[in-house]
Amino acid sequence: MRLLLVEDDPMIGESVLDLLRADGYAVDWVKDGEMADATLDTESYDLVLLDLGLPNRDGLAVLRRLRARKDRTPVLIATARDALEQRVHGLDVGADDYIIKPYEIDELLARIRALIRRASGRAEPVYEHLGVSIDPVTREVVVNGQPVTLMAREWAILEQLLARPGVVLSRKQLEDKLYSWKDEVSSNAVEVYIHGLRKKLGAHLIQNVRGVGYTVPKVGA
Amino acid sequence: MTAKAPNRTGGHSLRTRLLLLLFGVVVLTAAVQAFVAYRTSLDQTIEIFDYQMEQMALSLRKGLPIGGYLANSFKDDTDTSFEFLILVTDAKGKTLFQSSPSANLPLNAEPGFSRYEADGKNYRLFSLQSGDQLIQVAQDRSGRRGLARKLALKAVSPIVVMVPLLIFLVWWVVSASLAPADRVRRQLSLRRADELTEVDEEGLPAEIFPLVHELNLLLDRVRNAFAAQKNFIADAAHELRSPLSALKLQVEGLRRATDASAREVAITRLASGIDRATRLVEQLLVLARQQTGPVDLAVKEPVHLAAMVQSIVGDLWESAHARRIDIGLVEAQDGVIMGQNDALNILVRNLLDNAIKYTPEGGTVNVSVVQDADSVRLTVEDSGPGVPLADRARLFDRFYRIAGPQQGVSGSGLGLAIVKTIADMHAAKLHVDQSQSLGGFRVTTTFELHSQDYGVGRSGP
Repeated sequence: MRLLLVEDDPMIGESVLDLLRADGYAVDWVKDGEMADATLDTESYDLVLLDLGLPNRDGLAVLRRLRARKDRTPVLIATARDALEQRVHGLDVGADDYIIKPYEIDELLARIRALIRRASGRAEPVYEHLGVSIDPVTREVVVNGQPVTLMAREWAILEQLLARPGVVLSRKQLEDKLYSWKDEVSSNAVEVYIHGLRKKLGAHLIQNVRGVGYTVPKVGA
Repeated sequence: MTAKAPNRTGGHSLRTRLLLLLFGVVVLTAAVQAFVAYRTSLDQTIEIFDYQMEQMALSLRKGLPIGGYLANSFKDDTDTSFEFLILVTDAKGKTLFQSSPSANLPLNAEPGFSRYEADGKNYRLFSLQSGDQLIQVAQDRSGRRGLARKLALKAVSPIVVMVPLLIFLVWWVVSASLAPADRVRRQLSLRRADELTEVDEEGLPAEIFPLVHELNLLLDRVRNAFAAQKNFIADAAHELRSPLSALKLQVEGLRRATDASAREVAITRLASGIDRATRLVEQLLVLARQQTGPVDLAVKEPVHLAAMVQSIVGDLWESAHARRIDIGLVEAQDGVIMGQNDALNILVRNLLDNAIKYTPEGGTVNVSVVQDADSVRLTVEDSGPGVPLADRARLFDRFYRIAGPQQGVSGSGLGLAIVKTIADMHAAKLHVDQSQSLGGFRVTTTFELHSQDYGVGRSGP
């Protein structure tokens, strides 16, 4: 899962960045409104964590432009502006959720998970498909009743694929979800993780669509 | 029209005063006028009666009426009090004519008008010597007076009728004239405590218009002050949340650190987060203290600005040196100003802190204190990136931070707001421009010497 963090306060930014990364998200961090706008225009994210009081362009303007481009990326506003009308306004302009600083990091993480879950069209917190269930909160993966331990990146790929069964994701798309700008990506990293997943979960779950990418079929073979 | 006066604890109602005064004037004028009219009418009537007596006597001179009594023009059948008594005698006192049996007039009266008493009545008498005849005409004085009074009262009656009419008119005019004032009062009395919008100035008379206008200006100022206060609280709440958010996240980072090096990083971050929160709270307290503290003139004392600047530069040298910033005094004339020592200390420190903070490593900060005939100027300039023109106006606003190359420098956004507050307190002017010699930010604080309380505090020969 790849997130965009829009935050001008360096102290808050670096702490949130570390905490989100520790939780397995690929995070990019921009520090002003114009950069946020430009980044959102060119890259795709699973969620935007948006501060409102930004230099150069206000967070709400960034949000408005994002929605004007018909971009449906979930946006979680994280701000110190706590007045009722500000919260209402933020949501009305197109935010999916609103959290007021100072917040608890656990609450922030839970809201991020909920928004991503909703965005993928699910309501239930545990994914279950073809005998494999994963719990994004505890990161427990159970295959036919047996718990399985996954590496962080393996887990991230599985989560992506299980989130939308039947959808084929290209190697590039998976890479994008896995890595932020700063990460060095080796050319066969995705293949390596897919190989690992197949060994742990069984070869039937993740299917290779030649020349296109990978998918978890809607109906098992 | 509501005649009910509002409950007041002091002062007086203009309306009541006007009404009482005007009522008094009306009544007094009417009384004087009535009195004069009465007196005049009375005197004139008496005069007419006298004239009538005189004419009657003169007409008798031409010969006595034949048979019977003279027609009494004023006589009315029931009223005998107004009867003319006529007696004509010859030189020997023999009665030639007597108008009625009661006309026993004294024969020794002087010619012209005189008075006499008879039968307990007071008479007015007119005697006329015509040849050998003595013609006398008399009239009962009380009767004359009674009639004269009656006539005089008739002359007064319109005035008496006019008084209530005038009083009503005065009341109406005064009430109508003061209606706009009453309207303003009602407008104000219906307001909620926080409703500070302007009062309607439409249709106000010239006398209260300036008052209401001034009131509106005052309301405007109060409204602005309220808004400023509200903004400050909103700003402060917002600004306090940011360091708190940082602290919370930093603590969480520390809690989740898995190894020693991560823990070390987290602790360093947490420490700087605490420093930042502390600095903000301190600055907020300074600002609150400077803004709300009593402006006690007695606290002002002579301050040696140059010496103060030297000592503060000394204090800050270490932190500047750590960032390889060359800080120094280029001019230190002994300017003595009257002011609050602690506040000025904060002003100088904040200006220097600011310069050091925004100057990149290896840069320069120059400070000078220059005195001329009527002012002492403190100039702080640096080789930093400076401040764009567009930002200069808002530079001294609370929590205003400029966007751009200084990003990453964490300020409270209050330093220059505090400088402004203290400068205002000392009637000092702040000027911001670009440093000629260093190319960066330059701020000049000018303390006027002649505007200082307690006169000019200059030292030296």
